[in-house]
This record gives sequence, structure tokens and C-alpha cells, in this order.
Amino acid sequence: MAAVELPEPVDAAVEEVLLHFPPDDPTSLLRAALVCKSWSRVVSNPGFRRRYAERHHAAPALGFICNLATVHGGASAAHFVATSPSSFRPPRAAVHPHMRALDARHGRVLLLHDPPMKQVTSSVSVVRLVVWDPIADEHWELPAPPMAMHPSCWNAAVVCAAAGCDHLVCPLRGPFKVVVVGVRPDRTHMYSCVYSSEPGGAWSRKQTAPSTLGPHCCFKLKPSALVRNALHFVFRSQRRTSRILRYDLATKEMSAIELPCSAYYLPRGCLVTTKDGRLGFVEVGLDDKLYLWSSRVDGLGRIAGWRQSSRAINVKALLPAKTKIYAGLRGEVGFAGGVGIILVMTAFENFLIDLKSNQARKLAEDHWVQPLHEKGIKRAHKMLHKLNVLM
Amino acid sequence: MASAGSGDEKAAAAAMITLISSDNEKFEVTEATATLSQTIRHMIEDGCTDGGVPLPNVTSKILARVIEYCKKHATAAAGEEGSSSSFSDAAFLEVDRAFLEELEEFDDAFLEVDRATLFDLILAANYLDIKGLLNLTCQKVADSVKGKTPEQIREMYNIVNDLTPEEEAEIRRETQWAFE
Repeated sequence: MAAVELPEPVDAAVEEVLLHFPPDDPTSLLRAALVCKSWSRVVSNPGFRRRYAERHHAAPALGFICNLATVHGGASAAHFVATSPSSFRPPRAAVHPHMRALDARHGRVLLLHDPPMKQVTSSVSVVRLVVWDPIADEHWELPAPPMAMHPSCWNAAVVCAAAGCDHLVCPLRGPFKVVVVGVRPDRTHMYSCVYSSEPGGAWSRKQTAPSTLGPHCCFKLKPSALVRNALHFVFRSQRRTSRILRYDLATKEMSAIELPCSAYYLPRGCLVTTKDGRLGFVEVGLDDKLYLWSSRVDGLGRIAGWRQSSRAINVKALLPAKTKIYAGLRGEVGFAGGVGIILVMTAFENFLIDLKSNQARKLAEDHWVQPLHEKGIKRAHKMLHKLNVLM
Repeated sequence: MASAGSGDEKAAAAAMITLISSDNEKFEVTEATATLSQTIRHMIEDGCTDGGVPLPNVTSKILARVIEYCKKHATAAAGEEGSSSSFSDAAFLEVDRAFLEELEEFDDAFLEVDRATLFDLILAANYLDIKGLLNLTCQKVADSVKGKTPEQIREMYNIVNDLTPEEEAEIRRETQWAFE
């Protein structure tokens, strides 16, 4: 009679147990790999990784990348900040001199070579973009984009380009794309350039219809948000009005979307992808409270409006007394979606605010760098950890 | 439940299934109890349960516990079906809450078993495809090994370390950062 036989009943049961391990402590899975052969087999099995990511709606996050100025007042450079209890550090966590992170997604970080001011001789600098896989510790320096890119006239993003990938567990060393969107220096036309790592690695470009973005259009290098196969960037279209530029990865079409609050000062907010896959916006209001917005879509999937979350977080109450949140241009806010953490930069210090626990912790500036055995990184990659960018 | 006995609840409730453990002990259970197991549900749908359902991977000791769980939760499932149309009704929610609390207490007491039994229950729940029981038991194990070293985990669950010293050294070397 039909008794169902499973090929590896013990492995299957172990897999079920390991699926219940907490996603905020990836090291517990590594410890489990040392129990016996069966457990080790399960932990390094790609099928398990996929189920684990699906169950917890995301790959476990080890930390995020943000740009922090050095204590000596140097230019801001990409740093890795750990958020999980593991001691994982990418091998070159803070060793990217003159490189700032523009974007991070699907296990990759997009870096921009940002030379010190005195080395910049003209207003049009050669833009050097580098894609960094922090866990495999691989770098790809991209050829120069095919457009003259002026400061404040562009922004860029990196995405996984593996066919049919749902980005829960992106393939190791898979193909990627870098998208640059910008406005020509005379502000008459918008353009987009796409770099594809496969085949061979090359740029393609597209110039769009005349710009309707206004004479004062400019971009600030803040991270983009990927929602439903479209990238979203914030840009300033008028003197005091910011909007969202939507770039459709499939059709390469660009369109503009209104922000929930029309007059918005760029550094005080950022675009995010909400848990239920919508476009979201996090903003620190003038009252020093943090507001979360999520978009509403119409029947055609277009953004029809915004809904404000009822919960406003009083940032100031979480920080030590007398902390001045915004001091000139240093005052900025960033958001790491996958880990639910807000970074608030103040005059002299940086604070991380955990949205889950509503607690703030001060960011120490010397605890990131830690040498790491190269092979360890590869094993770590088997369990895939996504990195998010904050700026 | 598409064809046989639909519409006649009494007949469906009275339909009995015989489960046979690996040590040949027979257990008579109602169809409602047995079909909490997706594996058995499929067998019933395929019409191959005459003469009993042999479960060569489950001992009588474990099967008795599994049936205890299914009986309790089958009653719960029946209750839920009955109230599903009045889901928004506050009074019903109140009743549901009391019932859920009772069920939670049952689950807590059910998990008061030694660790070997717990692991056997996971194997059985996985084999029989009983989602609730699998979740319950796996969560218990996952919670119990939280923060434990590999050695402690092996000791707790009587797991033999079959990794060769070379394999173990290799994994340790590759994952050194996790143990610092």
C-alpha cells in the first residue's frame, strides 16, 4: 500500500527545525553546520536558503553600508556597519579610500570614486563607478559611462540581472545591471544609461523626450528604491520642490511622481521599499519626528497617492538630551529597509535608531574594520546576506 | 471531501480510519482527526485506506502522541469552520479567544516531553505532513538550541558527530568569524 517514503527523512526534519532559527542571528545557522553531517548538508543547501529567505521574507541581514566622514574631516567614504550579533565584517569594510557608496542591493554595492576636491580640476570629472561584492570581496570597475556627467545632474543604482530572479536568493556571481539616470547640463533633456555585466559588459544609453523637470532640476546622490521592477530616485525639480523619478527597468521609460509632501528639503527624507512591496518614504519632519509614508496604487499599478502611517517616532526623545539633530548640511537621515534601521547624523555623532525596538545607539567610529579569512567569506555567502545602503 | 459523504456530517464524522504503527499496533481514529495529516488525507482521496494505513516510520508510542494532538486540533478546526461566516462577530471572537487559549495551554503541556521524543515527533509530523504539529515542535527545538554550542546541541539531542576531524576543522576555519 502507498506509504510515502521520503529520501532523507532526517534531513527533511532537520531542515524544518533550522527554518525556525531566528533570522536576526545568522551565526546560529553556522553553529548548526558543525553539529553533524546532516545539519551541515542542510545549512549549505541552496534549497534551504531559498525556503529560509521565503519564510522570513528576506535573507538575513548582516548590516548595511553607509558613507561616513573620517574623524580627520576627510571626504566621506563607504563603511560597513554590522547590525546582527555576528562578528561578520567584509574584508575591506572601511578600506575604500575616496570611494563613496551610491547604492546597495541584491548583495552588491555601487561605489563612486570621489577624489578630494583639490584633485578636481574641471566641473566635468571623469565618473568612475565600481561594483563591489562585499562578501565574495570582488570588484568590477565599470568603463566610463557614455555621457558627460556633471555633478548634481545624475544618480545611479545597481540591480541583480539574473533572469527570473525574485531576489530572495540571488545567484552567486550572477549578472548585474547599473542604471544611471540624469539630466543634461543645459537641463533640456533627460537621459538614462544602463551597464549590463553580461554579455561582455557594455553601456547602452537612451535620451528621452525634452525634460519637463524644470530649470532647477538636480539630483542628490541618495539611494534609490526598487519597487515592482522600477527604480525610484528623488530629484529636485523646482527651487524648493522635490519629486520622484521612476525608471522602468523593462521599458526604460522615465516618469515623475509626486512626493507625499511637496516642499521637502532633500537630506531629511529618503525613499524606501515597504514590507508589503510598495514605494515608501521616510521623513524627519521639522518637529524632529520621523514620519513613514506608503504609496497607494490604482488599478493599473500606478501610484495614486500616499498614506501616512499613524505612527510618528519622536527621534529627539530617543537621543541623548541636548543633541542637535541637524547642523547644516551634516544633518541627514538614511534608512536601511531590510533591517529597519534609521541613521541620523548629527553635528558630531551618528546614531542608529532601530525601528523595531525604538532604541538609539551611538555609532562608534572604530569598530568596523576586522580582518577576515577569505574562505570564511565564501562560506558566509552560501547563506547570503543582503546589504543595504544608507547615506 | 468532494465525493464521499459530503453533506452528511454525521456519516463523515463516524467514518473511522485504522492507523498501523511500525510495531503493528492499530489505532482507530475518525476521518476528521486523521485528515489533519496531509499524507493520510491524500491516501483517503486515493481510496487506499481499506485494511488500515501502515505507517512504517512511526512507532506506537509516537503515533499515540500524534493522535492525541490531532484529536484536539481537529475539534478546533471544526469549530473554526462553523464560525467562519461570522468572523467579524465580536461574541464569536470572544469564544474563539477562549478556545485558542485552551489550545495554547494544550500545546504547552503537549511539548513537555523528553528531547528524544520531541525529535521523533518532528520526524513523524514531517512524514505525516501535519503542519501545525511540525511548526510547534520545530519552534520548540529551535528555541532550545538558541545560543548553544555545537557540542551542547549534540548532547541535548543525542546526535552523533559524524563529521571527520578534517571536515570539522574546515567548517570551523571557514566560519571562524562566527565564533569570535
